[in-house]
Amino acid sequence: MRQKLTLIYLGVITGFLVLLILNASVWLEMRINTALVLPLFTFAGVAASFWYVKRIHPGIVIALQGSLFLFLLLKFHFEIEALTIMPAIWLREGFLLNFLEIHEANAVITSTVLFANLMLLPFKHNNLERIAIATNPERGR
Amino acid sequence: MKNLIYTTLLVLLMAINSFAAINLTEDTPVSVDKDKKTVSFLAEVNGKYFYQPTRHFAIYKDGKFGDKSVFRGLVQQLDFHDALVQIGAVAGNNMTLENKETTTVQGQPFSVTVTWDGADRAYSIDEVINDSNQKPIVMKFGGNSAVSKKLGTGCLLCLDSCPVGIVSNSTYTYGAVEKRGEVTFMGNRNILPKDGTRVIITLTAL
Repeated sequence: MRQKLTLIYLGVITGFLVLLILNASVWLEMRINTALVLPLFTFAGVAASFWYVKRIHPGIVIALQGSLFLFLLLKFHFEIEALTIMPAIWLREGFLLNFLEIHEANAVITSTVLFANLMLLPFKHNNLERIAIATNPERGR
Repeated sequence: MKNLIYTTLLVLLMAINSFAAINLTEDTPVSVDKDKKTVSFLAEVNGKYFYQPTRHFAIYKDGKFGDKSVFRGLVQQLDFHDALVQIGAVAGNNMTLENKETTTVQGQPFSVTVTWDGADRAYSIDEVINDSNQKPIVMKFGGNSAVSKKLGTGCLLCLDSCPVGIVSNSTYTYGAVEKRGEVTFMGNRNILPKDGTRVIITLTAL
């Protein structure tokens, strides 16, 4: 399951990276909804999760996520306020969720990023069990 | 002292003007004042263009390009055209798809202001739009109702001379933003309210 979710998240990040490239062209941006690449890549991630069986190294996801953050900062000249508006607007336009307020779209993005990063943490069931036993020795007996 | 009195009077007039037009609703998004030669319409701020360039000032929200402008207009473009005709404005109708890059828009010139609930005053178009060349924006009634109806883009006011937009900026020819990169236009985030805020845009015939 974690593998599937990682692939979907990878699709979302790639979608945002491609969107940033497309967005550099004012001509294109004025003619089509470039944010449509977001659902396109998300669904590509969903599709890939059904057939791609190899393990995705968390480092790849973290590196891509970091690059996206860096490119966003560079595009908006390190204006943090832009980061609280633009990704939310792209999400809204891409997934055709025009009824969403900016803060609601931001809540969706923040939850996704938090959930995805927690998922990437190298927790194994055995580790969690060991932690549980350490905190409650009764459970180990 | 005289200047102070004139400025106060001007601000007061602008405030009265903005409050007079504040009755606009989604059902009646446009109002016409034939005596003052003004047309006001309701629109929403699009926060996207605080951070990236556009060539559109206002587009009807349900038009093909409804999300490509600093303001999403709630008035349909042909109703807006008719409203301008009602105040006696004469359209230039000189822009075509063939001459668009060599001709600037002609027709009735307008001063354009924007105000909203809680605004200190009505702001001029030059204050709410950042032109990278800092040239004044000169809006003129291009007309173009037939092309506008045919293409259905919803364009109300464009920031360079346009063969489709009802009103457009005669300072630049078509292609100045997208093709030749002569200029970039963005909403002024230091003045405009946040994304989604309803504003009233008023055009006064000069």
